[in-house]
Amino acid sequence: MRPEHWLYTIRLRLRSLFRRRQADQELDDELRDHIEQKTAEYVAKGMTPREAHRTALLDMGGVEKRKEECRDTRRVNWVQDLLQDLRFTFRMLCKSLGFTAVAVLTLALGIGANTAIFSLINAVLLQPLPGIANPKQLASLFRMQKNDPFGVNGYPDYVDYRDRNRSFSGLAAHAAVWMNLGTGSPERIIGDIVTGNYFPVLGVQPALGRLIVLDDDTKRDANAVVVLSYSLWERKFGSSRAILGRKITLNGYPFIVIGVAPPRFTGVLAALRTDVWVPMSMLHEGMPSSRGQHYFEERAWGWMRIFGRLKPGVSFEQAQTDMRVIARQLALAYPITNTGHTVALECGVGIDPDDRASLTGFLGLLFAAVGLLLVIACANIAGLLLVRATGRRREISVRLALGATRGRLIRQLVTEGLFMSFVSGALGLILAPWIIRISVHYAQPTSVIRDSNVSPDARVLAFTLLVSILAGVAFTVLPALRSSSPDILTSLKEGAPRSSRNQSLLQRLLAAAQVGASFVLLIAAGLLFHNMYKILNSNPGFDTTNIFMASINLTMQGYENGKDSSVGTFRNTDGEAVNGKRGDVFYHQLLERLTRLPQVSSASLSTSIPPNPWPGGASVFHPGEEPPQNLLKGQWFQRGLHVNIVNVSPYYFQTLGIPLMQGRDFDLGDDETTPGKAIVSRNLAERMWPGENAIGKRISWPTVEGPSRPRLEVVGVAADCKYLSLTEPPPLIMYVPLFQNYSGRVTIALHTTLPPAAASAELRSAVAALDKTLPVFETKTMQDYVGFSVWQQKIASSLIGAFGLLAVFLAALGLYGVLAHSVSQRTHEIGIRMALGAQKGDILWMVIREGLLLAGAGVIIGMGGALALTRFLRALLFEITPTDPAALTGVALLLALVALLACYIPARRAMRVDPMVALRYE
Amino acid sequence: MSKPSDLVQGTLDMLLLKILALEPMNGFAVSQRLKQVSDDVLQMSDGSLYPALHKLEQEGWITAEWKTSVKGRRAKYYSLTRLGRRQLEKETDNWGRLSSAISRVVKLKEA
Repeated sequence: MRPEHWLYTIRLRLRSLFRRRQADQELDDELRDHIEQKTAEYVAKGMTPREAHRTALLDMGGVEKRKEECRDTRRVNWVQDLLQDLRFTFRMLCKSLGFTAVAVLTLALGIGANTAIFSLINAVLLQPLPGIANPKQLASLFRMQKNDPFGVNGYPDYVDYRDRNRSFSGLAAHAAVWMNLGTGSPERIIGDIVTGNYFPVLGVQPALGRLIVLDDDTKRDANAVVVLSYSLWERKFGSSRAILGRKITLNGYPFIVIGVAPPRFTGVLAALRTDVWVPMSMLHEGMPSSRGQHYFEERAWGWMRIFGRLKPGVSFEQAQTDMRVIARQLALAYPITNTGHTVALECGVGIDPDDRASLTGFLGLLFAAVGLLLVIACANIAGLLLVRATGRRREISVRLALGATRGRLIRQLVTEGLFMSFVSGALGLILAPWIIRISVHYAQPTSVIRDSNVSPDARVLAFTLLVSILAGVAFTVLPALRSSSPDILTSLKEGAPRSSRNQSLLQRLLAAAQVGASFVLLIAAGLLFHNMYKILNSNPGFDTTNIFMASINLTMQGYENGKDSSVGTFRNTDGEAVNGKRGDVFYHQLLERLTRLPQVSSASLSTSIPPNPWPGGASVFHPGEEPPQNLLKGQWFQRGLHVNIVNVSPYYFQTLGIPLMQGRDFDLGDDETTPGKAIVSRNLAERMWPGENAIGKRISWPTVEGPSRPRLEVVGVAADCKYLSLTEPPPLIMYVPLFQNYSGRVTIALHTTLPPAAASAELRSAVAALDKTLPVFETKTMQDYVGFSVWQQKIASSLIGAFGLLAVFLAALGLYGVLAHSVSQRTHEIGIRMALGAQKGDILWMVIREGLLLAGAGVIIGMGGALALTRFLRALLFEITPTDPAALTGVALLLALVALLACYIPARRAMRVDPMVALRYE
Repeated sequence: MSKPSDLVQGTLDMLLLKILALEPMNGFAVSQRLKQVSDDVLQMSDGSLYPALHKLEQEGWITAEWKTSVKGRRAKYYSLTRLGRRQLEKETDNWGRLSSAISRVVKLKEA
């Protein structure tokens, strides 16, 4: 049909629908007019008026029939049928409010859980980051090496990729860092240091002023300009347009605000929302730790993320080949740093490939769990509908007998189902944000999940709609087919068997399936929970209780190490020059104050606290075995023994409860005036000096860059601990004194019996007494900190556990429904049995046996599912003991108990059957 | 819209469209005119007239309007739309081709 035609006729259809009464009235008038004229004609021909009228009516051949034919031409009957079905549905559902409420709520939970998990998947994995033009043309470039897949890139490599490639219309780079915003109350914000082409490549336009351009990224340390994020502009500067051209202090350095990014654009870090952008030329100010280092010259140091926009017509594969050719050229030209390096392209920007893989597994698991929950909910409602269909047999038989077609009846039943599932879907959409909030509650502070935008978009709505339709069809089709089958006509005859065999078999299958599916869910939750419990309660080698921690960053605050005079004048957050503030002095004073706090048995400062997957690292050697320095440069990971390095103050081991097995702890005398010391972990001592006493041994840790470091003397051996994560074996660690190896950013740890809030207050006041503008961040207890490291297991086990319990409840309802129905069907039979001498106990057992058989069948189905599931769990996510007999038995027993409870009420009803009444009833 | 195989239906549509193409008129007048112009050869029952007219209206080929006739009666007057005119041309063409083909065949037999 042509569009103009369609446009014209749709008006007519709408009129037929919404002004039906008027259309019918007009039809009436038109036909009456015709009859009148015809009558007049016949009268003129000589008939009596009466006869003429009759003949005119006969010509028409049944006025009502013709009217119906005319109405049929309007082609909107299906809508009217649907409305009629809906009205009927509404009446039917209102008549059995209890049933409707149970079914709708059950389904709402199922759909809500699915919507929630899908929203997470959508937000984390499917949605491109907002505010970017044509995100599909973007690709990210990662450095690939044997030990470090998907690594970040160095600056000189970036420049070569940018200038040599023929595949990208622009290749940009950026490095995200924490920054200290000193305007207003001091605050730690997320800054992104970006190349001049960052915004042009992303295709972002400013909301106010201008964004960073190529010219800003030319002269080093000379273009102190900053672009604010829209939310920071709103939050911190009251959306004032006067902010343009004004100065704000970042890391104590004044930056001129040149513009505000658009509200939708939140940067290219999937996990974090960027607050400010500064040009790459201002790296030293944006990232003070880069001062005096060779970030722009050193190829071996990876610190930038690279992404670009593909040229039109260039395929992803072509670009990948192109970039790999460049990587090979670089490896030939710079063998020391680039040998063995290649690159990998990934679609889009934002999430890193290894994060994506782990999140896909994690969310996939949750998705499978909610899918199972929905299946259970559908089976449950299908069971309820089957029971109800028995009650509606009479109604349906009458409608069939009166000439309703089977198709029309099924349509009516499916309409009822879809109506319920749409109501549930709407309820589910309301429930979903709550479920999301509960699941996100546990997430790590900076985890991708917590900061993703999970508000439902069109895709989520479409998903919910689809799920609702599928669920509605799934749970109605079987009951609808069964209850509209022609053999139902027999039920019009009184005394016919009241329930067909097929129907009760179907009901039983559904009940057993529910038990099976809930078994699988419970097993999954049990395994995950057991696993988490094991992780949390295995001895990690350090204390996990009574430790409170917080971090400070002196470098950002403009402090410097006393010895290092290369750092220029800095300004603190109040804008005053703080040249000469010494970090090491600050640490000494802070430690002294901290140890004097009430109920604090010991305190320490360090560059990291376990479990920390990324403490610093270095390659160590036996004295005399160090390679020439230029070789060391590129082959960082291949040479020597790679160890984790932690800079610690005295009392670190005492505070964290890591036992010292030999030698001594560092003391305040181990400072820059004395020779270098080290404490090694037991396994490191074993690797370096097997079978020997490590105390007094010397160890070499040459720097990659700059003057070589003096060798260290081992003064102690610490016990091994699970330093990187609770699930990994203890790594090799070398502890060095903080006062010999200054770091501007440290974590404070207190061993204290104070409650967290009091500990936090005491710690803050101790810091404030020394510098009241120094931000204290990441305050938390060790328990929380350790808890964060198992957040995936925590979310998965608690969510799946909750779903599992819900599933058990539903399965119990299902079981109860089947048994109650079966007992009511068999009242007659039970009456006869009792009349023939069956005892109450026999009857009780008869019903309970039926229930247990069903539950048992379900458990066997579930066992199969659980075995498949554990394989899936192990392959995807966590270290799981494949089949945990305790969990299997426990869950089976729990289900048996629930099944018993579900049997009990119908069994008691059966027991109370009075044979006289039962037999007379027929 | 009419199926080519449905000769009678298609022809009826064409006749109604043709009659309405001359001047707008009401249903009764259509039935009178049809009898008149075909010398009573084409008799259409009153019963099938109105569904046919309503179908044409729903197709968008004719449009209806309530008007007061010369005799002072309110009646529903049908008239051809632009779409209807196009449809009439199409059906007339079809009819022309079909009838000439049929008459050729018929003449062939006679010869």
